[in-house]
Amino acid sequence: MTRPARLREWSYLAGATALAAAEAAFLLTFGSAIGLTAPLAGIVPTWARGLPRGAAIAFDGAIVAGAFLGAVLSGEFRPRLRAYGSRVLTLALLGGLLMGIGARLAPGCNIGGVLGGIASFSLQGWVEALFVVAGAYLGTRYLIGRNASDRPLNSRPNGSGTS
Amino acid sequence: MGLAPMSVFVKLIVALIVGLLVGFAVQRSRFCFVGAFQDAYLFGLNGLAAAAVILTALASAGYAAVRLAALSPAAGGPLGASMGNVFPVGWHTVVGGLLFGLGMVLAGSCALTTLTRVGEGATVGLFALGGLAAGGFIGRDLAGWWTAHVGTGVVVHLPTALGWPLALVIQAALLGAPLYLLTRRISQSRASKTEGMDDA
Amino acid sequence: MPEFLLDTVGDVCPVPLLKVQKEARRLGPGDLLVIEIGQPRTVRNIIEWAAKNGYATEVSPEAHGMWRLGLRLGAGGARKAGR
Repeated sequence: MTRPARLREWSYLAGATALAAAEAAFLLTFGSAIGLTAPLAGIVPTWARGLPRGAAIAFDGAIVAGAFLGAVLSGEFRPRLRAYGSRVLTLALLGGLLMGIGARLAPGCNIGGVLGGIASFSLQGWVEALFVVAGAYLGTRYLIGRNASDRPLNSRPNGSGTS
Repeated sequence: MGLAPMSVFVKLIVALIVGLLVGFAVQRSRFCFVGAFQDAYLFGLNGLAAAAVILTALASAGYAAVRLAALSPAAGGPLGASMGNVFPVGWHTVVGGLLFGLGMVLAGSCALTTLTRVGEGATVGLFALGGLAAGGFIGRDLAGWWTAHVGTGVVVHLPTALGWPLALVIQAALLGAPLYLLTRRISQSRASKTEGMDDA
Repeated sequence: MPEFLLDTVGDVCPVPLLKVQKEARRLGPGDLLVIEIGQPRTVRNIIEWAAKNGYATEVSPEAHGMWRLGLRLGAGGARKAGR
């Protein structure tokens, strides 16, 4: 295959604008803000009621497909099977587990609970935002503690030359 | 006159297009809610956090426009049902938010960026996704138990409770304050950058 | 003019930039820190951080989804970040 066409990176603001447009289209179609985690827990979210079973999980699948498209068209797609150490993978699994539980309680993730909640002028969105930030603060303190006590520096003089 | 009700087929197409757009936009713009917090807190880089606040403000404006249009006597149909995501608030929100915030930092991605990371081919995203699904099933039972034994909390929709004018003022203040603080630090660092260039 | 190599391919945010931050402090004038990156977000993250803190960067895509980023002290030297 020939070299893939390279797409340009977007600014954060361009990303924010596109996401806001997506929220508006979703609200006008479904009367609800975008949510991601309910279908992962086997729940049909309110917006998907009346649609065929599996429509909500197909929406999550479309997000994966959109990112795949962006990565492939910009030459950034790379299947990484063995790049990660067991600590990173364990933390990903554990972090995912905590997120999954939290998203059912709060309810909602950063998108459905915080962004969608605040944008819907709901007090729940604001309270969740506050405590998501508090949880992120605690997690980050833990991470920097781990990082500071890590093995000595990871870099080494690069004798063989890189050029 | 109201909008014609949309067929199931049209709704499915919209869901798929919106999903593709969201995934594509996040992949291209490197948008990330975990990154927004950590860039600002750990490294003093506020651009992403400011963009996240702007996104929330734009989404709020869109919601307000739709709701206010729905209030007009001419509107009906789907607009009238567009209440958005108004969920009950209570101690479950506190516990759920803490767990979610802690989890996204440990995993290095929130639910959205877990999905886009899978799309980029990073297998670490599959581990986080597996955790999200497993945690979702646990959390679903836990939420059921919480509702039965602790309570459901209260639904507070600011415009319903306070009226639209006051709700809009509060929302603008709550979003404007962090945006001011974040962008003030951005422009300060720009100023110090030009000073540094003068030195060189 | 030593050259250092830092591998961040198996790390997720914010660990790559935390490592870079730590390593960059040891750079003397003319030293080069070569960072291997496997996450697109990390590339932008390091460039932004470097621009703010007085480092010069040069990125070269290595392969699909792999980057090499060279980091050196900028002309004015490292800026003490007023975090």
